[in-house]
Amino acid sequence: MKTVKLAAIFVLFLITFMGCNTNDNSFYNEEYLNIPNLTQIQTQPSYAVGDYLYINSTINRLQSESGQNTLLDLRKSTGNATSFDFTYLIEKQIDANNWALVDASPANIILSTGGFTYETGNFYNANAIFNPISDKYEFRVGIKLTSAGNYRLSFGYNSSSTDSVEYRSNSVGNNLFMNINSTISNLDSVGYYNFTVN
Amino acid sequence: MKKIIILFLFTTLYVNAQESSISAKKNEFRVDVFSAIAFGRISVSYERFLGKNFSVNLNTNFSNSNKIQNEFDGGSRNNLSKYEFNPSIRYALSKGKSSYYFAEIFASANGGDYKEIIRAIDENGNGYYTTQVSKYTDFALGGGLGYKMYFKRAYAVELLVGFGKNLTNTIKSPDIISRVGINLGYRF
Repeated sequence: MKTVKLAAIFVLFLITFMGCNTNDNSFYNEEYLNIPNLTQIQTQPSYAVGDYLYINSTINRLQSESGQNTLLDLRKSTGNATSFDFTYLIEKQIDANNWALVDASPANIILSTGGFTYETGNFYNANAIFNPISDKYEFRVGIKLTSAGNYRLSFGYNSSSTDSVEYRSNSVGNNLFMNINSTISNLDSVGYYNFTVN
Repeated sequence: MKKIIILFLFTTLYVNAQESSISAKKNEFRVDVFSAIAFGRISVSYERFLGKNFSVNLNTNFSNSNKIQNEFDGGSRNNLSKYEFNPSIRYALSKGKSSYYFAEIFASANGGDYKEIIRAIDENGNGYYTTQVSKYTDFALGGGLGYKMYFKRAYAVELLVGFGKNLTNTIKSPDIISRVGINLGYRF
């Protein structure tokens, strides 16, 4: 019995002694930046059926960075990542409480620059792809508004951010991932750009 | 009945003889087969038995695991333990000598590689982020519990579970030092 008590005390001592872990089991090839206004919603005074709502994104390879006196090279930081990616959604109101993602299959979009994937029913995956001629990461896609009604646009699938677009570099291998948090205009306090199609 | 009594006497004599024989041997070397298989870590120990249920132990570890190296390179961890020197004091919790439970407290001088993200300047005068690897060393204290049994009065199998906490450089070193092992040893 004495031995059992000793062992129990020792186990409690070990558990207490271990405490919490501060720097293990995380992901460490990540760097975070704040760069405002990399994304624009190409708004119109009014929308009609058949109009396209464009999202534009332009990210210069060299960026000024708060607290630094030299420009930051995003390409070099990410091991020449081919793109910076983000997600967004355009939803149409289908009844008082429910919204449905607007169909963005190839027939309903105009892809000017960059990459675009329609994750059916969930979100749009946007890729601002590096253009070596302009030395920028670029994205511009218009999504057709095919019917009248109330719409809303938001950025980030399952994101808690309400005033910004969250970019992540498409880094490969052991290169760093750059995460850019970019504030954007035209969103309301809960993260939506609301508009009506007549 | 007579046979049973004789068998019991022989068994008692054998166990006593084995235990007294084991007690007479004061040194033991062990190799941790579990760490070798699971973590690619070479772990060897020497134990000196002092009597009165106490012993002192010195364990050394050297790591060379491709899996852990890949995790370090890929960013799943920011430190890579390379070596540990772990002296410890053990106390036998059971009365038996051929098999018993024990508790230990240990210290650990340990070191390895640490990776951090730095902002560097390139040949064009532009900044960029990159990773930089440096060395770390730290000192830990901890404890463990184990069970040991002997075969043929000399061959040991030892199970050990223990944890320690690094104390001086935890920004770079792992917070926790684990001492989990299945050791095979020889006592002489």
